Order: sequence, then C-alpha cells, then structure tokens
Amino acid sequence: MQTTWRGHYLDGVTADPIPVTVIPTPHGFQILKPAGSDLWRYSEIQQTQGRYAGEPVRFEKGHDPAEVLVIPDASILTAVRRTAPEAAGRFHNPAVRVNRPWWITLAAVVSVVAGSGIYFWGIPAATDFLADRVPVAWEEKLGQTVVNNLVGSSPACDDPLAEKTIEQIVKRLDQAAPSHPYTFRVMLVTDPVVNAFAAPGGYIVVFSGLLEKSRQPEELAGVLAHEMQHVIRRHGTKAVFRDLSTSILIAALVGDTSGVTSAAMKGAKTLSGLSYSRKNEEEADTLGMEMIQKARIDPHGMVGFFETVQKEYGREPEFFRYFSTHPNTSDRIRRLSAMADRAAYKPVPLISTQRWRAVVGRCSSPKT
Amino acid sequence: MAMISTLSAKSAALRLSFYGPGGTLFGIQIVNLLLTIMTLGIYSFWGKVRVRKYLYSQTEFSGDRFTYHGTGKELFIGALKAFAIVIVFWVTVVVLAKLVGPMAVLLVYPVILVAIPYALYGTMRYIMSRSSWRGIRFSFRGDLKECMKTYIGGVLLTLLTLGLYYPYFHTKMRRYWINNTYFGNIPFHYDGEGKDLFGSFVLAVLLTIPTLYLYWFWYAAKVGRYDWSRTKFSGGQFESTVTGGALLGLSLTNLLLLILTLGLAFPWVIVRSLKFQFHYLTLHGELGLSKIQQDARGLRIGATGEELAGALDVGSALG
Repeated sequence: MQTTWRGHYLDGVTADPIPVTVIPTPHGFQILKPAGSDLWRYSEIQQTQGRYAGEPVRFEKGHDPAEVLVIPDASILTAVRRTAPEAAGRFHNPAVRVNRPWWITLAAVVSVVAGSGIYFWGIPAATDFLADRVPVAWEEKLGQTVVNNLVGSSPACDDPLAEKTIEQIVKRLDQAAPSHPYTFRVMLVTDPVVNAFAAPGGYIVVFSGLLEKSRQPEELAGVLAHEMQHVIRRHGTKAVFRDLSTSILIAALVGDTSGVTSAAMKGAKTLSGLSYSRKNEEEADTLGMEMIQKARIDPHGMVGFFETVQKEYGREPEFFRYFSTHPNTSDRIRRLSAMADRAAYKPVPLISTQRWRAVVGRCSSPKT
Repeated sequence: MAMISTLSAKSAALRLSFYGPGGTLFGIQIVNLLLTIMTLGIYSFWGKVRVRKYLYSQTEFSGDRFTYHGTGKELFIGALKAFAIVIVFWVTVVVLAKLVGPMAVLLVYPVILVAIPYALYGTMRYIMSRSSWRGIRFSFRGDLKECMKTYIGGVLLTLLTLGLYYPYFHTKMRRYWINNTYFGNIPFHYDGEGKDLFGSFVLAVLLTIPTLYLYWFWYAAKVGRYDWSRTKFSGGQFESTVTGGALLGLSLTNLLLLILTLGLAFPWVIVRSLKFQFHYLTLHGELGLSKIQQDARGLRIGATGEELAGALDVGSALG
C-alpha cells in the first residue's frame, strides 16, 4: 500500500517550488523536505484545489500569504480518510465524484421545475400580494403619470353636459361596486379613437370616439364598468409590479446588475403601454357585468358595445387567440351575453335617449 | 519532478495549458443555476466564484496551476455597494430633473464617462489581487487619476478625430493596464505604439464594407500578435501566432454551437475559447523566477469596482 506521496512545497514568499515527500499520519502530514522535516496538522490545513479529475491536490496552511503543498496524485485524499478518519471531513472525498452526473441531472430537472414554478406562480403571487398593500396615494401618483404620458398631448373636451353625464353613470356604477378606497376621476379627451382606459388610483380616460360609437348610454356604462374594475382590482399596479420583479429576477439569475436599471426602464414602459393580461381583462369583464346588473342597468348595453367593436375592427383571426393579451372579441361577446341573458330584473334607464343624443353631438372629434 | 525541471531549461517556449473538460464546467453551471433560483439570485455571486476557481485551477503554466482567491461574500458586498451607487445616482438625476428641468438627464453622459474607467480600474485591481501562481499573488498598482486621464482623454480624442485616434487610445490604455500589473514584485512590460497600428487600422476601416466586416478578424489578429510581441515579463518575451482565419473560425463555430444547442453549449464555448487563446500564446526566455518575491499588496481590495463594471456592462472591455 502506498504510504508516501511526491509533491512540492511553496513557501508563499518565493516562486521556487521545493520537492517534498509527504506521509499522511494520524495527526497530520509529515513533510520531508531536502532541508529537514515538518508536520502540518490537519486542523491547520485547508484543501483549495483537487476537487476535479486530473487536478492536483492543493493544501494551504496560514493566510495571506499561505504556505502551499501541491500533490499531483489525488489518491492521497483516500489515504487521509483511512489514516485519520476524524480529519476526513476537512478534505474532498474523491469517491463522491462518481455521483456527480446524477446530481447534475437532478439539478437540471429541479432548476427547470423550480424556475417555471417561480415564473408562473411565485412571482404573480408575490407581486399581487405586494400590489394589494400599496398605499392608494402611491397608486394615484402612478395613475397621474400614466394619464399625463398617454393623453398629455390630446385636448380635453371641456363640455359640462358630457362630463356631468359620464360622472352620473360612474356614480351609479360606483354605488353598486364592492367597497373600495378609490375616488373615480373621469377625463373626457377629444380623440377619434374608440377606447377608454383606466390608470391606477381611480383615473378613467374616455376618448370622444367611444362616446360617438356608443348608441346608448348603457353601452358606455358597460365600458366604464370594465375600466372601473381594472382600478378596483388593481390590475395596473399589479402589471407594473410583475414586470419589474420578473426583470429583476432574470437579472439576478444571469448575475447582471445592469438588468436592474433596465428593469426600472421597462417598468416605465409598462406604464405607458398599460397592457393587462388576458386573465385580468376577463376578470374586469365578469366583475364589470356583475356591477352593471347590481346597478340594474340594462346588461345588453355592454354586449352591444363589443358587437360594435367587432363590426368596426372585424374578426380577429383564430390564430391570435392564444397569443394576444386581449381576449378574443367573439369569446367576450359570447360570455357576456350569456351573463346578460341570465339577468332577471327590469332595467332602470340611465338617462333619457334625448339627453344622450345631445351629449353625443357635443364633443365631436376635431376634424383632421 | 519532471515538471519542475522544465523551469531551469533556459529558453524553452513556455505556454499556458487548459485541462478542464467543458462537461465539468457545464455541471458546475447547472448546479449554480439551481442554487441561484432557490436563493432568488443571491447565490449567483458564490456561483461566479466556483466557476472562476475552476477555470483558474484547470489552467497550468510551467507545471503549476493558477489559483483564484476571491470569495462570494466579497462579490456580494461589492454588488450591494455598486447597486447603492447606481440607485443614488438615479435618484440624484430624478431630483435634479425636477429642480432644474429635464436637461439634467444629460448629466448621465459625463457620469458614465467617469464611471467606466473607475469600474475597469476596480475590476483590474480586484481580479489581480485575487489571482496567484506558485503561491505568489498578482497585483495591479496603477494610479486611479492616471486611469481617468488616459481613458477620458482617449475617448474624447477618439470622438474628435472621428475614430482615427483609436489605435493610439488602445496602446495607451494597454500600456497603463500592463505596466502596472505585477507578479509578486516584478512588473509586466508593454511598449506598444499607436503609430505601429495606425496603418492597419485605417486599412481595416476602408475594408469594412468590401469585406462585409470580416476583415476586422484579421485586424484583431494583427493587434493580438503586435500587442504580445511588445509584452515582456522579466527576461521573458510573449509571442502570439494567432491568425485572422483562426479567429474567424473560432467565432463562427462558437456561434453555431450556441445556436444549435439553444445556448446550452456555453460552457464548451468558454473552454474552447480559452484553449484557443493558450494555443497561440507562448513565452520565451529566462523568467528569473528565483528573483520573484511575494508582495501581497492589495489583499484588502474590495469588489465594488468589479460589480460596478458589471452594472455598467463594461467588464468584457478588459478582455
């Protein structure tokens, strides 16, 4: 059985290696140098290299600078385990190398599972938890920024009658809403786009194009109910949080701190784009419809609005259904009209048809 | 002890050898990935250290392996500090933008121009102080002010001359990096001159379009050969025989490997690139290793500079 190992000693002061013979004893390494012999106790030694096949084993004693012992033959590690079992824990065990491929495969599988778990479930859960605890004042600031970014350049439509009418609809819906800490602020903007959007904190922006395409006030009410639910359910705030944390996590994974900066910028981008996930859109649809019904507003108005949209923009190809963040319009109409058909109450009109006609005329888009 | 006797053989060409198989590196990185996910990113600093230790310990020169002495804790603290610096900077910009107006954002450019050399300097000092061979530490002893002057002056002159100053900037910076790098108590030496590269640089610019950028590989090879031919350590002279065709081949095969494996081949790409570099690089002459003495300056140098370099994406600029 092998009892001595050849190697070299470095004193940490010069670069001249000194050839030595090393004998593992129960207390430490007996080191035979040309100039005499020395004992390195196991308790003073650290192994810093020699964990991988073919790599010489390197022992260090002391710090800054350390004395070094390099032994090319890794079998000395096995010998130490035999001669001094109580010191075995201090050094690498070459026997475990056999298991490495298994550990690596396991690590790869667990990484994929844990990574997707965190991405699809962990991050949404954590950010939703946080977003639900953000003070309303912060959300209002955030919402203000979004509104300024998106409609800063479009002219506001300062028509008291139109504004008052919309406010009246919002108020009626608000009374039917579950309790929430927001004050809704509606802005009417002169712009031919058939759209409305909600920003965090209670801001709702209605484009005059939407007003003109709504044949009845109930249709506008349907859109407003949908947007109000985005606010109440904090969808915008959650989207910003989720975007931010995903980028930060990815940055952390690749160990790249520059990601944090770009994450902040991307968060700003979310704010200006303000796209909600498909799930959030569906939730706003369903809860908005519930609100409409609780307010005893004709539920077919909301359905009618989406039908107008569909006529206006045509059917989306089926292909986009799974990729788009927005639910397919036909699906929305189907779901909403099923809900509307189940409603069993006599609708209470919002405002007279006469007044609605007056409002629609008031705030037409500027001719371009 | 055959490996030690090669030292005394006077003018035999010495070279660096890399032994590590890519598969082992792949294993290290997969385990790092798992632990990084499990710790929500915090382990990545310790993971980085494991990779560096592996790459160092698999690199041999004249019978001895290199050693990396950095720790994950240092990198973590460095990253926290770099992160704090970045945050403080952004907050300052936002506050200034509110007070002075949106023009304050323009402040970003001069600050980045100062931050890049600072980060490069920090990286160099940190990495060198954590590297050793035969138990002797490397160190970088450059002066920060000189670094700032050379870098900022070089960038401005390059901009002013529409890029023509670039070869002079390159050699000046390299002189600064190499001449201030020590192994133990002995410095490396570089005396490249921009004028020697100027002609090739202009040629490369002119040939950019006709050769669809490919000529830059030949320019890079030429600069590589030139730089090493002007680099010495003690009585030893470096020499590189790299060619443009070889560089192009390496880049293409690496790219192909990464694309075909969806990036999984990254560890093999690292190993191939290291082996490639070492294959073309030799060192001739008498190193006078017996004169070398440990000079453990800079053991207390922190990693903020390096992590700041990471935050600014400039780490690779050091090469």
